Amino acid sequence: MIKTPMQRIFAVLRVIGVLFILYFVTFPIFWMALTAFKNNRDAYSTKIFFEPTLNNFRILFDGNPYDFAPLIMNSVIVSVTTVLIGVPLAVMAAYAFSRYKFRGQNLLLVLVLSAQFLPATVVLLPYFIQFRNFGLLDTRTGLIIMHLTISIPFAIWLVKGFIDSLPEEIEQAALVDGCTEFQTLRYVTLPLIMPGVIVATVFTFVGSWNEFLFAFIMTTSNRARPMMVGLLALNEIDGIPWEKLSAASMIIMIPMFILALTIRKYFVAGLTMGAVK
Amino acid sequence: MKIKKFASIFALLTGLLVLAACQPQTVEVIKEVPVEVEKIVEVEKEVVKEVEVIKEVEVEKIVEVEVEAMAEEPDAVPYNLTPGKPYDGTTVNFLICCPTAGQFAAWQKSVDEFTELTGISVEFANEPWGSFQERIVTESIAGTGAFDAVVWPDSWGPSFSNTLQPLEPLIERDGIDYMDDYPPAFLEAGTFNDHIYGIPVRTHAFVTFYRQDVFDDLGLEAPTTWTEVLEAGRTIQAETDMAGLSNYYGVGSAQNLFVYALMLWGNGGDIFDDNYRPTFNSQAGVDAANLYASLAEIGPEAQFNNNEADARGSVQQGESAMIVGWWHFAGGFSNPEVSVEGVVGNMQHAALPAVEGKDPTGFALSIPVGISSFSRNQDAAWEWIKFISHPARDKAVVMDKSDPATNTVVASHTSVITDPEVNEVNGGIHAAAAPGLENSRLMPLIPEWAEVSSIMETAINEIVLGADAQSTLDEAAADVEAVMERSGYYKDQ
Amino acid sequence: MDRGKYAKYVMLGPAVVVTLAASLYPMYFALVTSFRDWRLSRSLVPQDFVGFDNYVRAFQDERFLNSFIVTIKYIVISVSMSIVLGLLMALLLQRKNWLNTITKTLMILPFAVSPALRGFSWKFMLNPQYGAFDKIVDTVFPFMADINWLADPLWALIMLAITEVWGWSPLVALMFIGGLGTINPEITEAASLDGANEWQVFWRITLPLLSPIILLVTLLRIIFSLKIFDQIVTMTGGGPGDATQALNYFVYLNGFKFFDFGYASALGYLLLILMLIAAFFYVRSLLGGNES
Repeated sequence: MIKTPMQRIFAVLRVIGVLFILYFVTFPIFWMALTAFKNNRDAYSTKIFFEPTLNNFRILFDGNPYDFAPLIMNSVIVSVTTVLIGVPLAVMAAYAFSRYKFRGQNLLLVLVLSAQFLPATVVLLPYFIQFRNFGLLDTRTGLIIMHLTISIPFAIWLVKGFIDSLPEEIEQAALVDGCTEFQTLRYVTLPLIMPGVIVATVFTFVGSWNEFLFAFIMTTSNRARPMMVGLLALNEIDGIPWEKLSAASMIIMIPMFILALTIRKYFVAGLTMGAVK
Repeated sequence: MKIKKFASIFALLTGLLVLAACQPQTVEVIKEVPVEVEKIVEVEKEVVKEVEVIKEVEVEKIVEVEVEAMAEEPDAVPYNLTPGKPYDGTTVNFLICCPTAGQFAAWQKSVDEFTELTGISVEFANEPWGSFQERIVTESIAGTGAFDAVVWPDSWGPSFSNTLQPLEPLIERDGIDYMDDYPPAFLEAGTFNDHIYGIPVRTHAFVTFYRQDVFDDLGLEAPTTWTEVLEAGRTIQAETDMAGLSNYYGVGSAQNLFVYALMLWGNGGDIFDDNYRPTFNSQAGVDAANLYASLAEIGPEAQFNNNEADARGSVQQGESAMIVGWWHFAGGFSNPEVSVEGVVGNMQHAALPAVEGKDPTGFALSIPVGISSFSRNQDAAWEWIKFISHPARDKAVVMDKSDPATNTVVASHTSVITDPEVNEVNGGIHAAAAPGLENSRLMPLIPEWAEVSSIMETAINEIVLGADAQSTLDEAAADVEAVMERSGYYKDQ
Repeated sequence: MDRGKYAKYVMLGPAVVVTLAASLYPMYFALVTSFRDWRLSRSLVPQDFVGFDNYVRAFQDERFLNSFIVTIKYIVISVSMSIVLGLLMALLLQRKNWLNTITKTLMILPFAVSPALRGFSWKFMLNPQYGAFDKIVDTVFPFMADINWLADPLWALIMLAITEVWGWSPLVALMFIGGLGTINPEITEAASLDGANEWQVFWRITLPLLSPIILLVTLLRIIFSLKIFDQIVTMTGGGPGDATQALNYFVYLNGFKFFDFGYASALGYLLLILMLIAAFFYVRSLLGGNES
């Protein structure tokens, strides 16, 4: 193809546009990463060159008053368990909701979803009372149950969309061949909706990892507190120490970034598949 | 078709739940709380009886005890503590905010000494400031008894008075003799519904801070009126690249009402009249709002969204030359880790500015400490409260400058605030605040204050950003009146 | 068709039990509370039933109506920005080259940043004194130097939306890129041969083909936008004035700041109804093709 001057200008504009996107997407993260290595005074300047310090990270682990080590452990355990339990349950439920017709189906679906849609601040108190009665306050188990109730409805909803988009005939063939319902789900349906399951996994994991309000109310000590609570605890009466907050948010975000980048392809495929039929 | 189906499902669901709601079992979980409280109170009464017996024997000894005399009398303990370690082995859970506040860090350090004296250990439940209120709310309703001693910002107190224990019986029992050693506003902050629920322990007076170096360079004097503040600010903005006054007009936690209230009171106005009808939309209130808004001229760009901490940050960064705020700001201004060169060593403090031609008014805020009604260790909690609120401890904390983490100027007792030693070590900030403290006022101590202050802070923010003062305040006053009406304030009128 | 008589219960059971066992009581409690007078500052225990008083009050409460309008404005801004920006990004990144590949890889990152943290970091960057974003805008677009982002009602709302759009528009763009990939190039080529210019191809062919994605994203974003909360707490505090006091934040104010749990619960259920309406349309459009 021959390029006209007009096309060249467009090509240049396009590159500028892409660079602008790159800037918009990464700059806030880049800036936080930079701030994490500044001292308090430099944090309040737009300096790009400064004497870097690891002090902000050290402070988060020295136990006076912040101690992030057990918090990281709690976050990992809670989020991983939530995914390991939540996603399989959600996939099975989504399959049932999608493939079987039964009485009260819609009512049940609406009920399951409603729990998710009520503002957290309204259900926070009764949750707290209920968890107190069951002795689940300040335990990881309690937090996992909490996060399951938040994530399962959304995951069901998401995965159901993917299963709905599959023609039922695929499974019928398998059933006719003598597979049980579970075998059908496991060996026929699941591989086909894998991108959707991955999207649900990412949403569940990110949601649990980043959840703050319930985690804060349900935990009172480092025994069960996840990192998000520790991070927001930095927002103090003396103001927000940006440099420490940035350091803590780096610790929180980096595992998320690694996760996001490793499964990016499947994730994007899942997002797209859910939307385009 | 679908909408209909959907709507009917929802209606059915709602109807079912409403029906179920009419059964009395709904609040079962919560109802058991008062029973628990009663039990605790009963147990406590017994304990009180026992203690009274001990007291009769030793009461004279305790009253006479002086901190220095301890060594000779092994039975007696300082700080009005109960002798004989009756609560040995118990743990007091202390719900507190703000682990970075120097004073609280100092308390945490002193736990060992307290444990040695009483055998009681103290666990600090350090809650972040931003979520402190949520913690207190859930704790009040669920009544887990997880916390024994509690601190709270004074204006929240009346909303939670039914979760706190009145302290007069304990004060009387133990012969606490320093209750009149507090500036009236501090003591008042923990007193409502005719009971003392809180002992003032973290207390703040409002003062003016200014950059001595900048003022010297420009030949300025410390301002004594708001007009002088404005003029000094204009000079500073004309001659330097600094902002004059670091305002905090932002909304979120009603901090923009501090300076506004000061001007309102200075003008002879008030937030409410005696019948709790809002009066801040009077001429005095409108003038105060306009005066407050006029200061925006000498403030930094971020002032409209800044809260108190942001505004202090602006001074610490050397961007603003003046700020009107709490005396504990002095800690940050002298700390080279958070303040830039030029700020450290150059922050001077002065009494609060007055409204032109009017008498100066002071403003105080405190965080009192009290005992949770749900606590099962109320007496042990009281021992801890006596320990941290004792004048000798109060003084020891402000005198200790050995560790930046526990460095604080915050003191509560009049005797400590006026102590020459304390003033020498702390640059005389207490002496500067003392006259203002005598006629200091507080925000109204009513359970509705959170809602009222939210309405008012929104109005003030709008006025500062250019809305008409009279009509905006009128609207806010009408909203406030509706809140008070709903709470039954005007029933007899 | 009658499939899986028992299997369906086994499959549904665990998820439904886990979810409902934990959430039924809170939902029920909040619903009951919404019909009662419960001001925590008066009593630790819920008081009398007051019928629909709390609901009626909402519709007479100007501050509630304000929060409703704020929410609607926010939804319009946030949804349209997500889609327009997403579409722009998709069109720019559609071609395959190394720069676009890197960009597309990194684009997924903002999604992983928690909402509360987004609020913090944008507040930090928008500060007129030391905010990096503000500095850059001032330098690149000097005519915008006077804008005080969080002090202007409209800009504050836009910036609030930006915190969400920052995470979402890249995802939307990735979905669009997927969608564009499925468009048969023969169609656009045929159109070009017929004399249509690029603009016409975009409006007449590309956009209609992307419309299912646009619809889904719109509904999904509406549902999430109705829940906007964390960034208001960490970034604007509802200000300037009450310009960013969205519904969810208003519910929070009434419950946890004003201690009126009866009213807050009623407001919560009103919000639930709005969300269910949006969710209903979402589910319907998701199933649309299959059920008809």
